[in-house]
Amino acid sequence: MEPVKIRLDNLVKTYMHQEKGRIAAVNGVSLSVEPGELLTLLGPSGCGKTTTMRMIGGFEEPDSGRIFIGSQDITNAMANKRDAGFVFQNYALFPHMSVYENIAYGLKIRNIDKEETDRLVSEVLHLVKLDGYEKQFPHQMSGGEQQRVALARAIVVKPKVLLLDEPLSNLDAKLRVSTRSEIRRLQKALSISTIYVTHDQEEAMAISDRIVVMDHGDIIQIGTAEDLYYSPKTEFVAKFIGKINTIPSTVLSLVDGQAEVRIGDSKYTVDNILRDISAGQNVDVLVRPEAIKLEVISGTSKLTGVISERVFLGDRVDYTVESKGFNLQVSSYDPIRRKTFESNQKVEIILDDKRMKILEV
Amino acid sequence: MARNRKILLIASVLILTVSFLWAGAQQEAAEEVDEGTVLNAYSIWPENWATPMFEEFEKATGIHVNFMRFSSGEALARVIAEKENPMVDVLFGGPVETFAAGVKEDVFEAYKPPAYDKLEDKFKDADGYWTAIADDPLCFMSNKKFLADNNLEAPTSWNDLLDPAYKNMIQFADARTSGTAVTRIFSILEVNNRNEDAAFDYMKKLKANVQVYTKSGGGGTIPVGLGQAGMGIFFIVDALKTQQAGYDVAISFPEEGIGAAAEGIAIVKGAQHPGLAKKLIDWATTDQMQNYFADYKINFIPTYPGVETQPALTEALKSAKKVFPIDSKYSGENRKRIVDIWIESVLQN
Amino acid sequence: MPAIERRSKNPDTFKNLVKDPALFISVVVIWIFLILFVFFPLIRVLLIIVTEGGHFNLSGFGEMLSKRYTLLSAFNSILLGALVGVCGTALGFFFAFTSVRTNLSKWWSRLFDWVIILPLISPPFTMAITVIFSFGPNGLITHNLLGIQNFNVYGMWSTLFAETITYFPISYITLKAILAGIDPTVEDMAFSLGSSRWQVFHKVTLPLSTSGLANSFLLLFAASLADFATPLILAGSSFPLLPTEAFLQITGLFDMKGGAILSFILLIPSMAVFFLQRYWVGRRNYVTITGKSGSQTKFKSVGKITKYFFLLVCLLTTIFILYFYVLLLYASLIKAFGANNTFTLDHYRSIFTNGKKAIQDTLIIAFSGMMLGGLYGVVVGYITSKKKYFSRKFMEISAMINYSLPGTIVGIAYLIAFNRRPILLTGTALIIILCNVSKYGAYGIRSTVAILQQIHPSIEEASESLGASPVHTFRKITIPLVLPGLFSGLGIVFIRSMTAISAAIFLVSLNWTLITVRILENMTELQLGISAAFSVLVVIIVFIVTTGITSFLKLFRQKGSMRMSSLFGS
Repeated sequence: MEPVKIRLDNLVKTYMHQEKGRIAAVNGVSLSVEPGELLTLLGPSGCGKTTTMRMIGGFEEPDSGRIFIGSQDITNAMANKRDAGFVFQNYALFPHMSVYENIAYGLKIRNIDKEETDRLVSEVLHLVKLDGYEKQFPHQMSGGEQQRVALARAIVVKPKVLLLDEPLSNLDAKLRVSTRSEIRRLQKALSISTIYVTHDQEEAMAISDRIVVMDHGDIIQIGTAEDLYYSPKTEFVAKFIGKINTIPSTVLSLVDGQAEVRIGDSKYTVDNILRDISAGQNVDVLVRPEAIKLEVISGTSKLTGVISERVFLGDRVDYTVESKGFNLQVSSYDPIRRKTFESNQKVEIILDDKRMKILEV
Repeated sequence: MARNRKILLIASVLILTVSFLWAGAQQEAAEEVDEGTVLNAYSIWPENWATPMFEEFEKATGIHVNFMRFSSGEALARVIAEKENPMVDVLFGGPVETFAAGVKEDVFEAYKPPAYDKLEDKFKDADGYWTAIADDPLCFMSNKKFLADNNLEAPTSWNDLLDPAYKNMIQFADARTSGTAVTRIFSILEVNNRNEDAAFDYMKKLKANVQVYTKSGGGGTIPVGLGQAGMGIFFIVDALKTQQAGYDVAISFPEEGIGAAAEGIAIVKGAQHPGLAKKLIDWATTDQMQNYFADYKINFIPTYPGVETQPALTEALKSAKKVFPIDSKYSGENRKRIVDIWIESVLQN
Repeated sequence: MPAIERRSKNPDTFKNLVKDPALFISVVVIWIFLILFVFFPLIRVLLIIVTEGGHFNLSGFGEMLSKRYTLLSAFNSILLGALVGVCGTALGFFFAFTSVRTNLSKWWSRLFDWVIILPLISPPFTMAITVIFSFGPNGLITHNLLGIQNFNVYGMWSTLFAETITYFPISYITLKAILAGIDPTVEDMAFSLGSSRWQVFHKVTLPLSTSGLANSFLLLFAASLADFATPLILAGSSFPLLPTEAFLQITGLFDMKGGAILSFILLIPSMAVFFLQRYWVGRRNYVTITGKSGSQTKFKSVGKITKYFFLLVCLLTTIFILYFYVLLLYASLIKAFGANNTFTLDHYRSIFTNGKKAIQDTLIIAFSGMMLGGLYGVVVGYITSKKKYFSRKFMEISAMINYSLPGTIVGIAYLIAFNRRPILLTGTALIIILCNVSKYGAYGIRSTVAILQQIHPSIEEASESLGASPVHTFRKITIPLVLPGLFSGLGIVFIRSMTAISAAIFLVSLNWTLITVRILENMTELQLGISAAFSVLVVIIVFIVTTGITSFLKLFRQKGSMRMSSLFGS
């Protein structure tokens, strides 16, 4: 089957809050999913990602806006007519039916004959690596297995699109990692346009073609993992994806889109500026932990600090460095090849101008 | 769900529902068909007696009596509650004071059967609202073993009952539900020359010895028979029955006198089968029914002149020196008031 | 499964009704039923109470209230209710604790479960009858065994005893579920922190059971308040109680108004219980019984001595209960209890000939009520918990009104309300059936709601996402999952229809009578053997039907569907 494009056009969903009045859960969301793409909606609880998803699935009615699957406007279509496979956070397997019956449910509705159903069921079970589980019942299976059955059930009917609502949040860490790869592998193999919802940024980065970062009902930024990591538009995105340090600084001057800022006694030239600033203003400068180098302190050191905490993690060492007026998280990768420092050691902090950002707040 | 099981489930639900609705309909239908020869009655007489009498009636006339048994208070309460839509045609049996109360509530229709003129005044209502079908004196019934254990003779005076030996060993009926009790209370009143203070004084004293007030008139008979109670005051019909059943009891009468209540019958106002009702009344108020008392060991005194009282009953009544009828006019007028006083000052005190 | 809150909170709007025609029809039909068979009768009773000859007049009401007897009855009813609540809960707790916490062997557990069921499925006088047989002045135990003369069996203590034994199984069932749901690791933790067994019990187990204890107390209090049959036999005239007095007021003094007033007084404590249950206990944790098939850790919180003590108490009670039923059986098979001990089948012959009509009538009424009540329970349960529409909350409460009221009030109300046009129902089977449905159908509603609450909405959404229409989803997903609730409702309505009397006694007629009423009549006419025989018959019938339903349930129970803790789970 040819993968299709999904398009959301200015979706709005509001509800009445007891004290605050009418609140927007989804505040005019527009996006599109390319055919065969896995797009992730990422954000903290309450950002509107699940509500958006449920509107696409047909379980919530948007106050305004349109939803297109392919060329069809499905905004007002009933959930059962959308041909959108949905995998729920809690699996939602039918407890009174066996694995076979769960998976065959959608096929029966489409009047597929028994022989064909048998074939499709074992085929999909094979795909999710649950061969032979036909006769099992949900309560006899582990969380991970149930999740795979849920997935199998959704894809066996060859839906136009796939919607996955935080499918992994109920699994333990290791299982999450292995299952997410499975899901991605499957999605690629089937070439099905998929929207994935999660609050776990690592998960989003691991499997998505593109990520949509949401907060309080709005889309903050859309991009690939690299886009979002290296070029976040706002402080929210920068902090949400990966770790980042916030360093207070003073703008000394602003020339041609470049700002000269002072941090402590050092001066830096920042050209990655995404907001309006003026000279004399105090702004936060953001720097990733791996973009900071530490050196042995010397007489010419401009920016210094003291290591207050040192954590050895095998592939890297994380330091917490206390400096005048701010703390830094510094990560030093493949430590065996570098100089390492001890707690309470005084160090010089070396910031890379090119990797400093001043972003929208 | 497997297909077969599903079909089984639906099928059984359908079958069950249909069959019960059908059964219900059948029952209703059965009533419809027989309307022409079926009479509905509330009987205050217990089933043991009502059933054989009605069977004889049906043999004689072909009319079937559909009845339900209630104690006198309940029966009258029902008839009154159903005033606007009477469920029955006849109120059968029960002491006359109940009928007098019913007359006051205007739930009966006057009818004077052929036997009416032949009966004594005490056996009929002056206006014809009810007619007697039997007479029934009250008596004392005591457990012989209890008497022996306590060195007592069978009581022959109302005052004997005040003896502390009887403490917590007397059972008799509650005036709220039983005509027996009302008859008893009016007897006490008569014996005290209708002096209410004296009478209620006595009843208050007697209360100390009362174990429990039973719902129906004959409710205490078996407990007395078994020895759970020492004695009770009952209609002789119940007392004799207990004795004849083999229980070791003695029947006695107070010398001051004790009341007898006639058992009545009346047509319910608005009855659906007044013609059939009249036939039953005609039959029951004459020797036609009352001849059967002896056959079925129903120890009532027949009211129709000329019908012989059966020997066992005559024998038991020998020691009854003074038996008086309860004045239906007096009791009718004062029933509610007296019962209320009894409830307030004796029962609830 | 974690509960995910519905994101959009659509208020219960009129709009929802109009959009969904099936819902609209159901709501209308249910409301018609509720108005006609819950509100109309109650309003009629109220009118009788507050009017005199057509005019508003509270004097009758005031008069009744000022009578010493009325106040005494009210006081007694509440006192007895509280005592039964406490004693029954305590006894139930003993049983529940022993059953759940002392690592009882399966054998013992089974025995207790079976014996406990008996009082619940018996007609109401069974305990009272056997108490008289055993503790009356010539009673088996007091007289023959202990040689006590003149023991006064009538009064508060015997009534308390009989009601406690009759109702404590309800407490057992409630508490068993709660105790079973308390995570043993919580206690383990307390142990590891150094608490003694007593401390663990006293500081951990007991507080966690509080909601269960409170609920149990309220249930038993309400049951005792409404109990009409036991006090009728045992209370005697020195211990008047409201439902019995109301009955006697009407049937003895033909004082409909007085009776109505007395039963209305019962309304106050009943409503208090209803609201307390809703808001106090309503917040209890719904223990889901499926899911975690974790390791069964051995409960360590009970020492050996305690264990044997508890076991002893339970064993004694069990023996007592069995003794009562054996006594009942014995009384039904001998000619005349106490006087003539010759074996006879006459009583049974009698009930199948003279009593045939009563048996037929009762079965017809019970089965019809069961079907209607079951359907009522499922539909109302489903629409009040799954759909949002105007008047939903009010409907939910209204459906529980007759259930919460003592049978006496409902019976009197029906008698008064349906005795005349436009709705003339006296003398029919329908009036009894409707009374039973309006009263006991609520059990079905509650169990349906409980089950639905445990079914996550995403299951139905999943079905729709796979292409199933709402009707298809309802048929294939909702109904199979709700089935246990449906059957539970069916079972309860049947059992109550077979064993209840307090409402039905006002509604029997020439055409339709009930076994329980016949038992009472026979008791008052002292045909004790026949009463006993009828009672045994009822127990057997109810037992068969109950077992049938649970087996049916097992047969059709979709594997993995939510298990109901028992057919009687409140």
